[in-house]
Amino acid sequence: MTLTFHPTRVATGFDEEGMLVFDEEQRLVAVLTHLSDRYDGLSGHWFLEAKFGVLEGLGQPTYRDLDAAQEAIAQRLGRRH
Amino acid sequence: MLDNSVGTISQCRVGFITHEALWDLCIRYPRITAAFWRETLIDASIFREWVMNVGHREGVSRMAHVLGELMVRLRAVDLVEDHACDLPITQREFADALGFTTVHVNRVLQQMRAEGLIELSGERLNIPDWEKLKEVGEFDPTYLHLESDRAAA
Repeated sequence: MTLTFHPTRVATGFDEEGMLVFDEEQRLVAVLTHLSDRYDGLSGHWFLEAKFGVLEGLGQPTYRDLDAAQEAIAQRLGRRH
Repeated sequence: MLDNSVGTISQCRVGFITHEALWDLCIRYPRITAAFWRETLIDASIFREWVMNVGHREGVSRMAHVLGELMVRLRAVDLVEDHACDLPITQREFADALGFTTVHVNRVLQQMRAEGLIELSGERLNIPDWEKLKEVGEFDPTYLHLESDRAAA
């Protein structure tokens, strides 16, 4: 499962950078937010801001980098196939 | 059989009373029995309010409601000065209690500070505008059954 990422800005109230995450069929599966410097220990991590039905059960984790996010999301999607 | 556990977030002294002793007390002193009964009714009332709060209110409103409850309950035991109290609760603990992520707790608290709903200084919480906080959190303290800001008998 290869995911594609499209940069976006996320209106969290703090105007943060983020990524739209698409699956192989270009369906939007998640939105990741790159946590700004306001979050103490979590700053710089990627937060699973929003997810759609196919990712149910994944919770709302934060990932230390995009590779980790990609791996976790792809693994969850892989379980459905 | 105990179906839950109890934890404290600060140092506490805890006393244990055996079931036999409690039964004996209740049989001999009906007013104590009535007090325990009342306590369970108030517990149920608080749980109903929490189901409503965690299940229906969003971000700032949910947090405002909990801070409102905290303030009223601490006032009943004389731990509030004006509208300020100690808040030794971490963002992780708030997240756990409210069903938020720590990221959300962080954002909600920052938004509440920016809107003048709370002032946080170290572990000290101040509510600059009590009426506004109550309005935002849809907080009506009736469910706590504290009369005249005094602890229930």
